[in-house]
Amino acid sequence: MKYFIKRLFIFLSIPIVILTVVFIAVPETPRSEKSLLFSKLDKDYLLRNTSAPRLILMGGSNLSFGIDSSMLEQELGITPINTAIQATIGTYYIMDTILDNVQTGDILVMSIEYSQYFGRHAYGGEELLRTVMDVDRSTINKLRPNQWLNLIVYFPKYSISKIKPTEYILKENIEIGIYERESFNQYGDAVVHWGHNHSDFPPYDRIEGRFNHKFIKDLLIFEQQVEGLDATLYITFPGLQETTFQIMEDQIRKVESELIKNGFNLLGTPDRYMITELLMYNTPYHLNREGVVYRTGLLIEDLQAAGIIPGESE
Amino acid sequence: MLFNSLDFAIFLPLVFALYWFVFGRSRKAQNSILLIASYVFYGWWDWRFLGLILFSTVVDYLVGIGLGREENLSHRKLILLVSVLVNLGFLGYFKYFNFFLGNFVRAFSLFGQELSISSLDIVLPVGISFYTFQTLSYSIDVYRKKINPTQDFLTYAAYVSFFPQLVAGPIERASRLIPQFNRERVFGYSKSVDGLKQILWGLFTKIVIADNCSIIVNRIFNPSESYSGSTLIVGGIFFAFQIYGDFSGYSNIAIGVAKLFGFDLMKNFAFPYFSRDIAEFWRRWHISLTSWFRDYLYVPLGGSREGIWKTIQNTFIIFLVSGFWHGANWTFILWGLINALFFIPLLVLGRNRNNLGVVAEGRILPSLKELIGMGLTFSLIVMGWIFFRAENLSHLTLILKQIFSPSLFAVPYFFGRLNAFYTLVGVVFFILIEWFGRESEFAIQTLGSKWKTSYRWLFYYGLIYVILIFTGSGQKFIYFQF
Repeated sequence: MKYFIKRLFIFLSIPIVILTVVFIAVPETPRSEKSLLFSKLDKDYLLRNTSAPRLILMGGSNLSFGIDSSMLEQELGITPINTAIQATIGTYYIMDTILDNVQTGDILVMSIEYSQYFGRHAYGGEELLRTVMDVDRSTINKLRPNQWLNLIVYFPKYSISKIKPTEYILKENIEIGIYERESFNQYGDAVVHWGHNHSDFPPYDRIEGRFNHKFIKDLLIFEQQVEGLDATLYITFPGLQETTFQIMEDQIRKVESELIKNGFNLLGTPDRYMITELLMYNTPYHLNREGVVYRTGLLIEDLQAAGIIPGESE
Repeated sequence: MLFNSLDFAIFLPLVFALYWFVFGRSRKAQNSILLIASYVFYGWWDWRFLGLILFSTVVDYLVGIGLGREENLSHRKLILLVSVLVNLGFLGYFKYFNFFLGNFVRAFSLFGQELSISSLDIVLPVGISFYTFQTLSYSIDVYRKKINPTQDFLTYAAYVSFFPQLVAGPIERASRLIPQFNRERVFGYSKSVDGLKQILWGLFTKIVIADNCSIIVNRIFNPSESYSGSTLIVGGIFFAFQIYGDFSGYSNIAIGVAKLFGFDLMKNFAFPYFSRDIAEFWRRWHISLTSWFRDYLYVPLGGSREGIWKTIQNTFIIFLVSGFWHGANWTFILWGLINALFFIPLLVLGRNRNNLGVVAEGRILPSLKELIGMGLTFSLIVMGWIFFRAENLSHLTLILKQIFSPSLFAVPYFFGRLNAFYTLVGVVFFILIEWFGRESEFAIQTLGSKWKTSYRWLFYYGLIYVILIFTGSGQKFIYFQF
């Protein structure tokens, strides 16, 4: 037994040491530098350098791939900043890092994927690790213990990706341009795919995990923090493919009822943002150009209904 | 708890340490820790189903005791019936209730009677098809007096719920596994190293082969899309490797984990894609299930003892039941039927036991005849898998229409070409390793045994490297749904 444990220890120590060194010391790869995660730097720049009041859009790719901010600006007369990148970064990170840049009079509109309300999804995944390690190490101290717990599983994969030859010599993603730092316009909207046609894709399954009540409590705390900065938080619903909507309908209803119960400022209803197949792009949350226009139109109506009308916000 | 998850990566060493270091001196304590660990492992999915497994355990334990005490045949039959009704009742309710209800309603509508009965929202407990068969086999073996009933509830409960094979097999027999629980366990270095190698190979086949193939397969067999016949055939081929990598991967991990605790589980796969005919394939694929059906269904029905027609009838029955075991869907039943149709000609011609040994034994390459045999058999298997993979009958009809159309000769469509290329390279590597390891218990068991330790370790590190590259998606094992 001792011999077995000793040999196993030696066998495992070698890769663990190598991966730890790689994890800490090897910088981001040329391929990862081009990824959409790095658009965070540009979006942060917008947040720091655009004068208040702003319409700050927060969420995952349902927003980055689902909004035309120029329409918002035109209709509402307020400068939008679309800070959304990808859902797997996790809403906790999005909330905790945005607070530093909220200014008096800002209007925050949060539209997060329904999965964020369930299980441990809001704590983030692989993309969060890449964001805090590669994109912005200064935010690493913002991570909560629960987020670290989620990230541990990705440590080996993250380290391995840095010693993966294709990270240095080949591009794996055939949809070049869609998921890159350069895919976003001056507001932070992903726009490259606007010229592309709808592609067929399967719907998502039901969301794994139970409803995360702790997340709702933390969302309430976030709302108070935003209000403490003389800004306002609204929560709206992501544009979601009709088929997926039907598959997870009871879970969506749960989200809606919990948000209503806790008194959040809501914009619209989930049903309003249920999107027909032809307006989708390549996932149940990504919209094509027509879909983006349609969804942005709905959001404008909901914001106007909430009292944000041209001229009033300035 | 998934084998390919962080939870399990923490759970396994913890249970291993408790089992050998804390409770290593007492067999009873070791069985207790295995039982607790198994319930934690199972309850990790949904603790509510623990009641089900416990109930099934208690019933079959008492049935065993009852059968041990009763000599009257009609009473013994009644006692056995309790076990059959409870186990098949669970299976019938959780797995087949909505299927029968739906077909019942449809059958009435054919005669103009519209019934308004809505299906029930039933969640299928993970692994129910596996552990119910395991408990059932115990009761039947006690009834047949092949084994003595165990008096030790702890041992019996640990046997039913033994976590390495609880949710997706191999479906163990009491005659093999219970004596191992009753034996003192001694830690074996080579057995444990063997177990680790088997776990490593299982993770590789699951994470690298199966999960990557699934990306291509899910796209091609997406019911809302329509691909050419040739593309669907390509999808069928990738699905063949997905389901094999997935299920044999699970079995290898299960067997490897069991070895770490000093247990030997039965072999579940014996390089089935190197089979030279369909009969050989069915001796090498999901061995624990096929042998279960042979022993508890085919043989009691008369097997091959009552003439060729009866043999053909019995063969059809076990293939259909085997198909139905996989799920409440007509596509699985048709999959069983088509395999029976492939198998029957060999049976009629008396050639179903032609290929009993390992292909090209002692040689590096197969003969031309063997190669052709393997190619033809694999083609039939892929055809069968297409039935298996279809979502429902209308989807299957669409697929078959496309396959039997001129589009069969079109250039197959590959999306994500680079990823498809990597997957193909992985599959070719996998086939090669399996080929060179086909005379062992699992592919890499003896691979590199004559190499220097450093080279052998480099090979294992290579496998770990590739596994880690693809880790993270945490895909479930296909056979959990059965």
